[in-house]
Amino acid sequence: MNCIVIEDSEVQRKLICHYIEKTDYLTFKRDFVDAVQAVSYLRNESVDLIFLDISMPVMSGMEFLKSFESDAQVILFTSHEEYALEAFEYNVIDYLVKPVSYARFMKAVNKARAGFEKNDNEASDEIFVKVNSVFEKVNITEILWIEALADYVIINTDERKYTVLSSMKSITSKLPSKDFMRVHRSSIIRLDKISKIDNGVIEIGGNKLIAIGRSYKKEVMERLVTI
Amino acid sequence: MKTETKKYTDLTYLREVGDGDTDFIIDLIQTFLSVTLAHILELERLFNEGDWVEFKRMAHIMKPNAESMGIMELKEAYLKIDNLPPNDVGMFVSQEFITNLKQVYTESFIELEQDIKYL
Repeated sequence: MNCIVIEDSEVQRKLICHYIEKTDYLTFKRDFVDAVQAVSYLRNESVDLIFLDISMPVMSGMEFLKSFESDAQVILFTSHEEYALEAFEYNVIDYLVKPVSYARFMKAVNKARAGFEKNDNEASDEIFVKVNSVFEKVNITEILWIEALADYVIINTDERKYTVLSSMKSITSKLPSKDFMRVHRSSIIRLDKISKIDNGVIEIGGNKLIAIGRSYKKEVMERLVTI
Repeated sequence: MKTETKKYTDLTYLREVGDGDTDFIIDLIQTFLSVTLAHILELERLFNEGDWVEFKRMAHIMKPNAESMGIMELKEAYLKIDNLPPNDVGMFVSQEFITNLKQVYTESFIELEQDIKYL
């Protein structure tokens, strides 16, 4: 699960980032000292889990939740229980009191993981994409890779290409994360279609070569089963 | 008053969190040392101005950091402030409170700097 941390206290931020790095199924993407920076990041990037401090200057955690729509699950840091009830209206799955123990952190993360895997399992094998003015059915298992082209994404299958007005972030949120992975700012691949990786370049579908972005390299290698 | 044996800090939590990663523990202590002085000055300024809403907010930020370093004396004080409505904070916090708080931090800084050498 890709995650970010929004926390103004440097000490607490380092603690949480350390916990994330210790946890196998969490992939740390970025940390932010304020929610405004995070909003800007989330306009272009998709994450699965947000660790969010409530008490921050400029934009509080609650203001962030109210103003920003995201599919990401949220774990709050707060000792203000009065926020808890309201917070659960916003995809908040748990709240932690600082300083957080690793055991408590893991309890919250396991809740997030359960929700994440449930969403993945419930995902349909088919999606409808709007090509020009027609909605066309695409079987997700047939998708090889998806590439960004300005305001469009091109969905590549064995049979054909679908050019759709959409963003990478939007398309990522509609695909099961256990099967697909973003490997570059402008490329998403289906993991089981990888035939080989050579020197930072993925070969997919027998002949298509896709470069792995520098910031995605570590995550790609972590997701592959290697001997 | 500090006695010969009394320590203000306790690194049990950090050691548990660090799980043998000494560099990480040192990094956290150094981060605490580098940010806390500014926090104390800000807290004192807010006390002098009688801005209890912001004073409470600042104390709330400082609480988990002090707790992470095992400074339980400050944790208790911050917890009391946290539970008071802003209008009552001024009755709880006095000049003596601020002086004592600064003293506890000063002693804690000395202890932590020593701890870093022997970690």
